[in-house]
Amino acid sequence: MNEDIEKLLETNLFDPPESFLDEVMLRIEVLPLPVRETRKLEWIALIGGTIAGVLQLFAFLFGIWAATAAG
Amino acid sequence: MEIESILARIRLGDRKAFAEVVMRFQKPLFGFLGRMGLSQAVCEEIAQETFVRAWISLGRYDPAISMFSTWIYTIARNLALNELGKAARRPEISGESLPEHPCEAHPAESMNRLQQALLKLDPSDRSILALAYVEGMAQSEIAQMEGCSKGAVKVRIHRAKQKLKAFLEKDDE
Repeated sequence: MNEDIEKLLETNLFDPPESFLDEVMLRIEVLPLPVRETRKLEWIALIGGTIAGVLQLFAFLFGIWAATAAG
Repeated sequence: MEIESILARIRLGDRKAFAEVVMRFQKPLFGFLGRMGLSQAVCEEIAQETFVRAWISLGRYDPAISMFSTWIYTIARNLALNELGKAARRPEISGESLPEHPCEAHPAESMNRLQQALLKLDPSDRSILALAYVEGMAQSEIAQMEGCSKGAVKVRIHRAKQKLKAFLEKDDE
C-alpha cells in the first residue's frame, strides 16, 4: 500500500498541453520587459553615504573658518 | 543552461529566453498543481498565471534570498491555495475533472482515487505533500516556502501521507 501511494504521488496527474508554451509566450509578448529594481538597502546606503559626505564637507569648511577666525 | 544566465538574457531584453524557463518548469509545475487536487483546466490556468506573474515580478527576484525554483513554486503555491480557498467557498462541484491524458504508468482509476483522496486533505497538507514530490525539491526549500523548520516539514509530510493512506484504505473498503 505504501509503495503504491509513493508511486502514485511520484506520478504527475497531468501533463501540460502541447500548446501551453505558446499560450504563455503569447501573454508574455504583450507585457513590458522586467526591470531589475534597485534594492532597498542599496538606496539606503547611497542616501546614507551622501549625507555622511555632505556632513564631512561642512565639518571641513567649519574647520577652515574656525582656524581663520581664530587668527 | 543555468537559470541565472537565462535570467541575465531576459534582463538584456531577450524575451524568447523566458521560453526556456517555461519549458524547464512547466512539467513539474503541472505535477505539483495536480497533487494539490486541482482539475486539469484549473492547473492550466494557474500554471499560466504563475509564469505571467513570474515575468512581471522578475525584477524583484533576488537569488540571494531564494533559489529560482523556490520563488516560482511559491507563486504557484499561493495561487493554488487562493484557488482552493475560493473553491471551498463555492457550492461543491461533484466529480472534479479527470485527467484528459491519464498517465500510462498508472491506470486512470488509480489516479482518480488518488485525486479524490487528495481532495479530502487540508490544503496545507496537500501543499506540503505536493511540494515533497516535486523532483529535486529539497526539504530546506519546502521549509522556506511553508515558513517552518526542516524538522516540521518532515513531520508534516509524514502526517499528510498517513492521512492520505487512511483515505485511500477507507475508499478500498
